[in-house]
Amino acid sequence: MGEARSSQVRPSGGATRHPWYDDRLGRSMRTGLAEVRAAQPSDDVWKAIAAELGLPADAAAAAGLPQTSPSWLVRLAQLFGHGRTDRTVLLARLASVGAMAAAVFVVGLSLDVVLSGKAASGLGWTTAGLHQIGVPIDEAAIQPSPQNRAPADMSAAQTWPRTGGTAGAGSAASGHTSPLALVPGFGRSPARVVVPR
Amino acid sequence: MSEPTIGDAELVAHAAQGDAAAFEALYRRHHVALFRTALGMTGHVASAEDLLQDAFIRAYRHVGRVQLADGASLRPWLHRIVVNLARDRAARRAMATTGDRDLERIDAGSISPERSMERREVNRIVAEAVDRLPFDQRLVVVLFYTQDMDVAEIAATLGIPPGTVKSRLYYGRARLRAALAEDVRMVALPSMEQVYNDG
Repeated sequence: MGEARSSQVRPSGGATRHPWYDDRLGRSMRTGLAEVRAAQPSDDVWKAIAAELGLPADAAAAAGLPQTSPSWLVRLAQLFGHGRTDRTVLLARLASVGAMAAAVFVVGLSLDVVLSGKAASGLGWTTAGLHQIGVPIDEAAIQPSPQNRAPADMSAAQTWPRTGGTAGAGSAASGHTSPLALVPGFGRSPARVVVPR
Repeated sequence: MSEPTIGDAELVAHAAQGDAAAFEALYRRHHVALFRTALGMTGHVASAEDLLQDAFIRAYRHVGRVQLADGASLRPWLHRIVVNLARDRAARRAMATTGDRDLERIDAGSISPERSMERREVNRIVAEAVDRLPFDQRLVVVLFYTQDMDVAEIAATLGIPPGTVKSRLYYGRARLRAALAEDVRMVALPSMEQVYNDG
């Protein structure tokens, strides 16, 4: 074989600019040799070479050298990175994602405790922790503000009958009826006057 | 996404000291191109894989002699090993015979059976025409039409003058043109563009 002194060679692909590459015969050759142009050897070739030479079959992957199939770390970097494989950047991104996930988990647990009302049950330790930071345990005792509180006696809410009624409850109680009937209405006018025939 | 690039020169230096990982990285980087050259020269998948295997075994044993400049590629040197092995085998076993190519083993993809048969027939006709070329013309044609190397790249890879490459390519193409024009099987087939563009 002799001593090999490899020269600087331009990267392949220069033939595409040659007139013989894309003339009628050139196209025929490229289409006829399409299978050769796309062929891939099987993985067994390297295994046979490694066995013949007594080499480990996956030495390059173990050493972190570029492979045809990237390692999980490179795939992860492809997922998160923008052309960088710096492990520091990758770890920082992982830490950021982890912190966000932990925050979502804690907020979710807190909401679960407050909304489920099971403060002292299975998640009591979380309730105790919330109490230490100022959140009262007996959430059920918290009352709505006075303006939002429902009155104890709701009978006054039924002021107007559904159907036609008489004007003035006091007058009806005294036996004096008005010839004008009031019909509950809707919209801006609370009632309209109906003149009996 | 660009992976961290280690030059061939650095990998060669490590491989020369017995670093198996560096040698495997060289294999991963160049094996597909070398396999396609070997397949174009032999027409047999199994023969091409044998050729590739023998070439890298020989390369491992002689990589210590390589003096590679920074930024240079080892591929021309590896190509010469493949070419020399292919030439030896062609002389010893007369590989350049017609009718026993097994390129059909390569999956043609999901196309209709009729188109698949036509493609195989076209491939066979072209492959047989390439097979009938003298070895040196065939080599230049394969590098030009499968590796997309231009005249200067082929000359640098094979270590021959560009004029010689151009001459071999010219006469090789003339033989191919005549062979395809005379092949009666081509008359019964659609045009190559139709065969390869239609599913």
